[in-house]
Amino acid sequence: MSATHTRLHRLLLAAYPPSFQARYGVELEALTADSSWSSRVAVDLLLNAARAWVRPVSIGNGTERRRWRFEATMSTVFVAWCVALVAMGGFSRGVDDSALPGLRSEPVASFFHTAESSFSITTLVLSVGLFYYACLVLLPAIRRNRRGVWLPVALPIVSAGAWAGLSVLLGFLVAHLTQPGSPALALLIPVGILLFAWVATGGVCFLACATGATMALRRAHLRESLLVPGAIGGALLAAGMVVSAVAASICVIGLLGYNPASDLLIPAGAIVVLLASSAVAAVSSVRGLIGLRPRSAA
Amino acid sequence: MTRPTGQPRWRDPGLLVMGSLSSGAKHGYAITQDVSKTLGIVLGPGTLYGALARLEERHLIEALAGDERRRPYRLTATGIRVLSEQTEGMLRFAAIAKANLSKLKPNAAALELPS
Repeated sequence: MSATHTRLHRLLLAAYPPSFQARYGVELEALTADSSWSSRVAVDLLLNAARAWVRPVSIGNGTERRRWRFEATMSTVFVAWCVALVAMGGFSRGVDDSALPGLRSEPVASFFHTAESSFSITTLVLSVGLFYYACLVLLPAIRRNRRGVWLPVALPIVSAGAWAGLSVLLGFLVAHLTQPGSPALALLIPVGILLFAWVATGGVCFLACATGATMALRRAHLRESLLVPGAIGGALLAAGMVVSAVAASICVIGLLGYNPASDLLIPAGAIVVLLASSAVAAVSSVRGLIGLRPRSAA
Repeated sequence: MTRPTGQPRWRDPGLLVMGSLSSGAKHGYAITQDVSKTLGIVLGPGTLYGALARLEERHLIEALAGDERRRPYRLTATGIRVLSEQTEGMLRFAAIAKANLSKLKPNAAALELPS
C-alpha cells in the first residue's frame, strides 16, 4: 500500500470515537494495513466510524463501563454542540442578516428568538462545564506536566489565536482595499492568500476545538463520580440543542409562507445539520442518563 | 461486502463472525479470510470491528491475551448458547421453507408459473 493510502487509512481511523480507537484502534490499523486499498474499504471505514459515534459500544464491567459511558456522552455531546454552533451561525446569518420579510411576523420572529436564546443557554451551560473540567483536568495536568492531557487543549487555543489574528489582518486589508484610490490589484493576491489561510485556519481551529477537549478528557482518566456532573450537563446541553433545532425548524417553515424557497436555502441546510447534531446529542445524553441509574440497573 | 446471488440473507456481520469463531479462536484478519473462503463474503475492516465491538459488549465473544495488533477472539459460553439458538432457528426455518417449497413446486407447474 502506498504512503498516501496509509495516511488516508489513518485519517479514516482517526474518525472513530476515542474510546473505540483506544480499544480497537491498533488492531483495526493492522487489519487495514493488511487490506489492499480500495474506495470500498474507505467507505466501509467511514460508515462504521459514523455508526460508532451514533451507536457507541461500551467495553468493560461495572464502574469502568459507567465511566466509559459518561465519557462517551460528554465527548459526543460536545462534538455535536460544536457542529451545531456552526449550523446555528449559518441559520442566524441566513435569516437575520438577509432581513427576510417573514421575520416581521410575530410568531415567526418568536420562534427565531427562541432558537437563538435556547442556543445561548446551551453556550452558558457549556461554558460552566468547560470551566469546571478545566479546573479539574487542566490545572493538575499543567502542574504535573502531563503533556498528553494539556497539549490537545493548547492546540485549539493556539489555532484560535492564529485565526483571530488572521481575521483582524484580513479585515484591515479588506477595509484598505475598499478605500478609494487604494492599489486594489496589488492587494488582491495577498488578500486571496490571506482569505485561504483564514478559511484553513478556521477549519483546523474547529477540528482542534471539537476533538482536543474530548481527547484531554479521555487521557485524564477521571474517576466515575467526577464525570457524573458532565453527564447531567450533557443532557441539559442536548435538551437546549433540541429546543433550538425544533424552534429554528418551525421558524424556517413559517418563513416559507412569506419568502421564496430560494431565499431559505442556507437556513434550511443549517437546520438539517442542527437537527442531526441535536439528535445525536439527545441519543447520547439519554444513554448517559441511563448510566446514572443505580448500579444493579445499569 | 459482496453477496453472491442466490445466497440467503443470513449475512449479519455479527452472526458471520460468531460462525467463524465456532471453529476456534481467531484474530481479525483470520476471521475475514475464513468468512471470505467459506461463504464468499468479504467483511470490510470497519464492518468486522464494528461487529466484534458489539459482540464483545454483549459478552458473546471475548478477547484473548496476545499480540496487541492481532488479538485473538473466542466465543464465550453465552456466545455458544446464542449461536446454537440462532442456528437451530435457522435450521427450523430452512426445514419449513424447504417443505413448503416442495409442496409449492407441483402447484406452480400446474399453474404454469416459473418454479
